[in-house]
Formats: sequence, structure tokens, C-alpha cells
Amino acid sequence: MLSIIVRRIFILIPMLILLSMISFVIIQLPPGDYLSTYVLRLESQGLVVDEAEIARLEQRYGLGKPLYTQYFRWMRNFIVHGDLGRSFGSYGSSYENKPVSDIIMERLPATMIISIVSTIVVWAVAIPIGIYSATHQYSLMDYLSIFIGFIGLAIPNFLFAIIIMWIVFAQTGHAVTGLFSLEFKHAPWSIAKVIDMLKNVWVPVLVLATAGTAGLIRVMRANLLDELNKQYVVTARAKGLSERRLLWKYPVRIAFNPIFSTIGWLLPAMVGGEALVSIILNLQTIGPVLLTAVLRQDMYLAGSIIMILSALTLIGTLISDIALVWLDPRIRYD
Amino acid sequence: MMDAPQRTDQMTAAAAPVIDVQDLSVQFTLDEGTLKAVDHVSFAIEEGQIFGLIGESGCGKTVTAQSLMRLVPTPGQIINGQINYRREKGDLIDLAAVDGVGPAVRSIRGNEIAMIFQEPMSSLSPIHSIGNQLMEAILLHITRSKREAYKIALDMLDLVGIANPARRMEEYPHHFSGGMRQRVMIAMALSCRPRLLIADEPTTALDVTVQAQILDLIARAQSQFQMAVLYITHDLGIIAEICDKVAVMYLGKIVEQGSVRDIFHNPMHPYTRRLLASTPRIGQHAERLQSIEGTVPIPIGLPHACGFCSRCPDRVAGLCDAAVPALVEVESNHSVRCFLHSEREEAAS
Repeated sequence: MLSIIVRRIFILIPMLILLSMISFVIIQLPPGDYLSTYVLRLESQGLVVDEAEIARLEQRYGLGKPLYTQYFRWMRNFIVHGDLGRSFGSYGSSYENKPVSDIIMERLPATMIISIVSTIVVWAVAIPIGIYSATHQYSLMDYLSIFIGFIGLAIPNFLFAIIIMWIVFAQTGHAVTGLFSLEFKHAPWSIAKVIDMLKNVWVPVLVLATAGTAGLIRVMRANLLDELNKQYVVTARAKGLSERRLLWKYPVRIAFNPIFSTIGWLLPAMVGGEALVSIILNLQTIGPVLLTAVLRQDMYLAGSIIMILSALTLIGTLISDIALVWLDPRIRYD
Repeated sequence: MMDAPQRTDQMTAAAAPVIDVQDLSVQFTLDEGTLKAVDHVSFAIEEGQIFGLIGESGCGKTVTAQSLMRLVPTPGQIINGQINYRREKGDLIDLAAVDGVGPAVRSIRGNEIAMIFQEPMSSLSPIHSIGNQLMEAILLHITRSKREAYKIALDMLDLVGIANPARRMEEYPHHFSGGMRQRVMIAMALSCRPRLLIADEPTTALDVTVQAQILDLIARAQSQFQMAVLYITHDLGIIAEICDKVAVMYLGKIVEQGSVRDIFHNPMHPYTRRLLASTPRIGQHAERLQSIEGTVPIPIGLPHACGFCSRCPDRVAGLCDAAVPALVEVESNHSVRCFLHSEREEAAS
């Protein structure tokens, strides 16, 4: 088992390097480079360009040098200084010339918190309902969960977000926008800020979890229905085990495995799915930044976000692979 | 139930049946109609006896076995009859009447009545170790001590001829071949010293050399533990080799029942005769294998007639296709359901 983990981590390293190369190519795809865009913009605003600053940046990012040199400079700056380049200020002027790493670090925690909390809610709600549906197939509750599940799947997230905002506003007069109350919005992270966030986080979590729950109920129900009629379940029953004990020990455990293997996709799916919701709810997450960065060709920002998300996806996949090896002895090659 | 102990007293100990099935009927309510999988079946298995149940695929033999352990899959239901099981201390329990998932049947399953299934490849959970699955029933019925259960499981693996049992306990089903898995299943079934072992075509999925080993293993275990065995198969050779008594099933009904000797030397039902004729024998020259014409009908909405009459070479027009023959004991301990041997009709049900 340990050898598999070590081997998988070794495979991860070249994957990550390849990933950074692809991200860098994306950054380089638009004509011109960061510096010329920056200089152009300053000049168009009638500002004086500081020659020394330009030279310093040119040196730092290796601009004007061959592409591979630029790539190595970019990677070295990232690894040594945590510097991924600077934003062109596509996402509001306050981000102008701000280091990309700062923007990502500012927004990644909220994104991950929403993603993780939504996932926990999805699992906690969907798995018991899925198990109930499968073990009580074609019962009234089964049909009810299918019906509600399809409604959850069919309503677009952004519409659901708007409806919830309207309902909350109409009932309480409180406008649900953003993840934090005003007094905490720019405060550094603290316990009070976390508590404040928990008061607001339920709206995006509810919106994001609805679709996920509906989907996972279907998957869990189908997986479990496949397992329930397998011979090994009859074997367990023939030993005299009680229905509840044999259900949890055998078919449910095995029906879990395909679900575990999808842990790695959660983050990119959430970032893709939450962009619209975040825009509507005014959440300080990565989705909207990535969207505007791509639209405005803010390439250091866009490329870096893509690289970080892809890296997190790879790590997520590694985690789910390790979980699967641990759960399913058939995967261990020994 | 009140007079049950009295009845057992009247019988001699040796002849007292471990299980006495009376008039058992199992139906499946399907969209196409009601499928009568088991239709008024009665038989009894005595202590230490190997009872063979033979018939073609779909004749209801597996459902009969499943109903003895109340393992009939949904939507199957026992709609009639009794399954009187005599427990170790002599008290009778009607397994057809108890709750199918309740504590009474669970205390018997795997403990007093154990079952070996047809498909060893899928009978074990792929993600639990052999030891875990083997010790489960022992921990449930015999001891709470893990150490003791481990010891029993180890002895059982040794008994069924698995080498290096301590290492094998840690392994998973995918490390085992089909024959080895069936040995594990047998070890599992024997682990609580059952009084009745149900073997549902345990060798059908295995290749021929392994079949013989498994059969030998079951026969040896039977004589060692002196348990009763219900052996289900479609292989007449196996019946001849290990069984004491045989029931031939066709379309959910027992059509002939008797000792192995009677069935092989004096088959009375045309179906039994055709079945015997279709078995190739060494030293007998035959151009073609004999087969039984036609196919088994699906037991949904059958006409009021002998079930075999459409395929029977000896059918009597106006009789066989107009009435259902009753199972009649025409010789001592040899019953047959055929108008050629008795004109008695089955009582309407």
C-alpha cells in the first residue's frame, strides 16, 4: 500500500511540471507581453513610466528572453518567492498591478470553504436518502425523493440563488450578498470572522448543494440497487446477520467506492459551478475572478488560477486514489 | 404446535426428520402474472440423510431451497404450507410462519441450517478478507471471542483442504480460484456445525476435476458431522453417487420421489425416464444424445393439466391434458405423479 502511495506521488511530480508548462503557454498565447500592456496602459492614462521599474520587472520575469527562459524565471519566482506575476487589474482597479498570488490567496480559502462545506452537506443529505431509496425501491418515499431530486437537478443554480435572495430579503429585509458582514469584509482572518462567515455561508452552500444532492441521490441509489441483489449479500443474509448490519457492512460499503473516486473532481466542478452563483451572491471566491481574467486577457492571473486549480485537482485525485486503494483490496497490486 | 413434542416422541429417533416440508407453495407476483415457482411441494429429510432434489433449470428447486432458509428474493412469497424444522432440543418451528427477517429465523440461518451457493465467484464479498467473512457467522452464533473464532475458522479452512490457512485468512476472494472459493464457502457453511446443509448446485460453475473434489469434500463432511444434506443438482451422476433419497421436480411440482435405487432402477414417471435416457453412459454406443423434446413452460397461467403432458411421449389424450395427477405412493416409499400409475387426481387448490 505504501509503495503505491509513493509511486503515485512520483507520478504526480512530472504531471505538475507539465501542468505549469501548459498554464504558461496559455499565459503567452495573447499577443504582446505583460510589460508592454502595462506600459501602454500607463501611457494611455498620461502617466510617466518609471524606466527603472520597467527594467526591474523585465529582469525579474525575463521578458525579451526566449520562452523557456521566461518559463523558468516564472517557475523560479513562484517556487522561491511565491510570485506568479501581476494582475493587469481586470477585476476592479484595486487589483491593478497586484501580485496574482495575493489575489489567489485572498480568494482561495473562501472558495475551498464553500466547496468543502457544500460537499459535506451533499454527502450528509444525499447518501442516507440514496440508501433509503434503494432499500425501499418504488415506495412512496422513493418516488418523492426522485421527484424532489429531479426538481433540484432541473433548476439552474443562478435562478435558485436569485429566488433564495428574494425570499430572504422579502422575509427579513436582509440582503444576502457576500460571504461576510460589512464589518468583517476586509478584516484579517479571526475566529469572529469565521463565525460571521458561517452565518452567511449557508446561502451559497444551499444553492450549490441542491444540484449536487439531487445528482448524488441518483448515483447512490443506482450503485446500491446494483449491489443489493448480488450473491454475496445473500451469503451474508444466510449467515444470520441482521438486515441493517449486512446492509452497512456489504452493499453500502461497496456502493461507496465509485463515489469516493470522484473526490478529485469536486473542486474544479465547484469553481466552474459557483462562478455564476458567486457573481449573483457577490461572493469573494475564485470563480468570478477567473471569468473576468479570461474575458479581459489578464493572462498572468488567468493562467495562474488555471494552474492552481489543476494542481488541486491532481492532488484531489491522488487523495481519492489513495482512499480507494485503502477501501478496495482488489486495487492493491501485491 | 402444542402436540408437536408428542409427535416427535412417537417416532423413532433415527427416522425423525430434521426438516419436514408440507404442501409448500411459493409464488412470484410479476407484471406478466402469478408465477407458481413451487407448487404444493412436500418432502422430509431425516437426520444424517442426503436428499437429492433434481430437475431442469427453472423447475423450482432453487426457490424450494431458498424458502427453507427464508431467502426467497422479492417479489417471491410463501403462500401456503409448512416448513417444520426440528431444532436440536427437539422442539419444532414452522419456518414458513416466522418473520422472514426476524430473530427466530436469523438464529437458525448459518447456525443450524447453512447453505452453499451455485456461484462461488460472486458468493463472497470482494472487499472483505476471507478471515473476516469466515469468522462472521462463528462470532454471531458460537462465540464472542475473536481469538476462539479465529481458531475455529482456521480449523475449518484446514478441514476443507486449504493449505496455509493462516495466510489465506488474510487474503481476499480475488486471490482464490473458483474451486478454492467454493471450499471457503463450504468452510463457512460448516463452521457452526449445521444440522442441515443445503447445497444448491455447488459444483455447476466449476470444472469437472474440481467438481469431483468438492463433491467428495461434501460427502466426507456429511459423514464426519452426521448432518442432513439437501443436495440440489441437475446432474444425475451426482445423485447416484452421494444421495440416499431423491425427489424429481418438474414445473414447481415433485413428480417422483423415492430412494436412489428406486429412481434409477425403476423410474416410473415419463419425465424421470427421459431424464435417465438422456444421460450418456460409458460403454454404450449412441449415435446422438437423447434429449427431451420441447421446453419447460413458464409456470404462469398454466392450463389445468399434467405439467409434462405437452412433452410426454406416453400421454393419454383426454386424461393427461384435462386433469392434474396427484402424487401417489405406488410402492413403499416410492411416489409418482402420473396417470399411467394411478388415476387419482390432485385435489383442487
